[in-house]
Amino acid sequence: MTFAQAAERHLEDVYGYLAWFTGDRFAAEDLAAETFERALRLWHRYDPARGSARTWLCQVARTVALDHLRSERRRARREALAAPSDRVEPAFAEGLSPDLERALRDLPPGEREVLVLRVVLDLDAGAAARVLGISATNCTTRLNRALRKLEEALHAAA
Amino acid sequence: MPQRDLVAELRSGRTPAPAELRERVRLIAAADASPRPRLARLTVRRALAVAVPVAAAVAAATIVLTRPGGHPAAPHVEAFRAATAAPSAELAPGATTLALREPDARAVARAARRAQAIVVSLSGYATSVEVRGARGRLVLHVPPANAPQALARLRSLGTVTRSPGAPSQTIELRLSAER
Repeated sequence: MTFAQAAERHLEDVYGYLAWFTGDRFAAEDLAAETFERALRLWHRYDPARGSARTWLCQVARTVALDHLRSERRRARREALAAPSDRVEPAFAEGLSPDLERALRDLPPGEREVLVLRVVLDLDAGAAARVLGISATNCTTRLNRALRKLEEALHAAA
Repeated sequence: MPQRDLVAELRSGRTPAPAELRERVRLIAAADASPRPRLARLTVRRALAVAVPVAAAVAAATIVLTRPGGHPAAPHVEAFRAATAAPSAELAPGATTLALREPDARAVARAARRAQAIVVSLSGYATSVEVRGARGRLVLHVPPANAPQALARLRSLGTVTRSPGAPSQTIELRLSAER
């Protein structure tokens, strides 16, 4: 598989993962482009025997997103001192109910990313754990906790 | 809501990638039109095993050849130096210069990468790429037939501060950051 084929096939997955993880579809667009730029430079390191291209691209995307979130936190701290934030809250995905959108927004990014990897992208526990750098058991625990929180939030909203 | 329904709703949500992002990724991927190289197994350790002795030999040769008061270098040494000097990035006659302004140094580096991807996607290549912090200079070659399209796409990488008149097959792209 060439890099171009992998990029074409998994662009939606990478963009979706970043949109859910960051909770910002505009930022996800830039981060996805940055992910593929970085992935192209690292493509010689990708070993199909160790996992799928999709899993590997999600790992690269996660590194890019974490760098972004760190700098974003610093920026937000600086801005909070100067003026109140007027940031527009974007949607995670099209077709979700407003209650579910709200509940997702209240989840920490770490729980949202396990949801997108396991539920939306349908990665198995091992592959999702590799992306997150945690054990498969820990990944399953985190997924159950996130689903429970969503259930509770939706129940409260109803 | 039961967990099964919740999972079904989460799966039903779609996050389609915007067309602009698709185009950006297509350009990035165009820089890698070739299949995976067989050097994929080249590790840092193996690279160092080759690079360290070579660097030591070059350093030793440099010390010997540039020793003050030493004998002048023999003609074949001068010829070797000339042949191994950095390639000149001189512009061919008739080359055009396009200057762009970017928001910051990071955008300069990004624009340089995209510029290379653009010319590669148009069957061209970069003969010189120099990016240092807030400034960058690239010398790009494209087939004459693709030159107008290359210029149009390169213009979109930043704010144009100097634009060439007629497109040429050799384009000098100058990048600078606002801060």
